[in-house]
Amino acid sequence: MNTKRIALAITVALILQMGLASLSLLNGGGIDLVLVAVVAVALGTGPVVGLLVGAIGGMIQDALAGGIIGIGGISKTLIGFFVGTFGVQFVVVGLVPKFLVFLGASQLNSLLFFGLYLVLGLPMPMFSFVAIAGHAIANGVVGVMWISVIERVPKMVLRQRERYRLRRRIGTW
Amino acid sequence: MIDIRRRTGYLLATVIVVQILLISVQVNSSSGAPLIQTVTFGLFSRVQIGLSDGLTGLRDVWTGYFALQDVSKDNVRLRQEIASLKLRLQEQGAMVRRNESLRDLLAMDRSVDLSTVAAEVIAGDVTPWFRTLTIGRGAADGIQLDSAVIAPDGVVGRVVGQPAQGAAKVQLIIDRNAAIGGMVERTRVGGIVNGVEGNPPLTMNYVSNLSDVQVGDRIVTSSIEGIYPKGFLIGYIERVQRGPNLYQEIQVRPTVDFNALEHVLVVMELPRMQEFGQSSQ
Repeated sequence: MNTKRIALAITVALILQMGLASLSLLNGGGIDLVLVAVVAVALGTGPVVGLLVGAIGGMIQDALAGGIIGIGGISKTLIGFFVGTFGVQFVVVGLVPKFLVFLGASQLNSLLFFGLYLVLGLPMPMFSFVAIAGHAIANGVVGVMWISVIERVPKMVLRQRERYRLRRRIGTW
Repeated sequence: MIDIRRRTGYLLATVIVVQILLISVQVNSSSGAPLIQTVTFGLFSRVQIGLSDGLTGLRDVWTGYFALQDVSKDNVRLRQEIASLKLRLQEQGAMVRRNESLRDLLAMDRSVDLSTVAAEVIAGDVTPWFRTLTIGRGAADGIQLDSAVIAPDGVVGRVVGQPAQGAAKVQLIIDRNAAIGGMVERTRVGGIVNGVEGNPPLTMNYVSNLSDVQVGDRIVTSSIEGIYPKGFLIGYIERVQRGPNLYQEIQVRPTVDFNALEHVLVVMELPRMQEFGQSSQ
C-alpha cells in the first residue's frame, strides 16, 4: 500500500465520516470510519505507518469534531501501532479474525479515549460500556466490509482496464 | 540517516509527546494553570523531590557516619565521665551510709553503760557451714575471746578463737553451734536461744509449755551464759507451738540483718567479769 493510497483511504474515511455524521441514525450507531481506516491500513502495512496514519487521522478527526485536538489522535496512534504490530506478528486472514481485530481495536480505542479524559482531568463525555460494545460491533462489521471492498476494488479496476483494452483492440481489427 | 522503521518505539513516543503538548496548549488543569505547566511542574517536582531525597540521604550518610568521628571520641569520653561520676556517686552514697551507721553506733555507745570498742566488719563467712564474720579489731585493741559483739539493732555474736592483733573472728548467734541465754521481755520467761538451719534461723528452747509466750514477744539477752550483757535485743518470736514434751517450740526472728552489717560494737568487759569485779569490791 503506497502513500497515495493511504492518503486516499484516510481522506475518504474522513469525508464519509462527515457525511455520516449528518445522519443521526448512523451517528448513533457510533461508526468510526477513521478508526476503521486506521485499523485497515495498520493491518496491511505495520506499526510505523499504522501509528502515523492513526496520529494524522485522529488529529484531523479531533479538529473536525471541534473537540480537543490530540485526544483522539493519541488513542488512534496507539491503535495504529498495536494493530500494526499485531498484523506483523500474525497473519490475519478470513472475515471472522478481521472482524475480531476491528472489534478489539474499537473497544481499546474507546477505553483509551475515555481514559485520556480521565487522566487529564477533563470533563468526561457520555460513557457507557453498552454503547462502547455496540460501537465496536458496528465498527467490526463496517471494517470487514471496508477491507473486502479495498481488496476487491483494485482487481475490479484491473479487470475493467483489461476489458477496455480488449475492446479497443477488437475495434481496431 | 536514521531509519524510523527500525525505531518504532521512538517514533511512537515522539508522536505521543507531540500530541500531549498539543493537548496541553488547548486545555487548563483543574487548578487553572495550563496543563503543560502542571504536567511539567509535576514531572520536575518529582525529579526535584528525588534529587532532594538523594542529597538528604548523602548528607545523612556524611553527618551520620563520616562526620561522626569526633562524636565517637566525645562519646567515649562522656561514657568514661559518666562511669567516673557513677563511681563517685556510689562512693558518696557509701560514705553517707557509713556515716549513718557510725552515727547509730555512736548513739548506741553513748546510751550503753558499757566499755565498748567500735569495729568494722572486714570479712564475711569463708565457709558455708559456719556463720561467722571477721572484724577489724583484735588483741591490740583489747578484744578477748568470748567478747560480746552487738549492733544498734541487737546482739550479733561473740568473739571465737584467739583474736589476732588487728582482727577477730565473730561467731554469729545464728550459727548452729551458737547458744545464748534469752528471755521473753514481757514475761521474763527464760530459755536458750540457738542457731538453726531454717527460716527463721533461731529457736528458743527449754521454755515450759505452761509459760506465757506469744508471737511478737521480744526476746532479750538474759546473760545466764556470762558472755552477753543483759537486756540486749535478740529478736522477736515469730511462731510458737506447744511441744510434745515439756517445752514449747519457739521460732525467733533476729533483729539484726546479718547480711548488712558494716560496723559493730565489741563489749570489752564480760558480764561475769563485771559481776566478779563487783563481788570482789
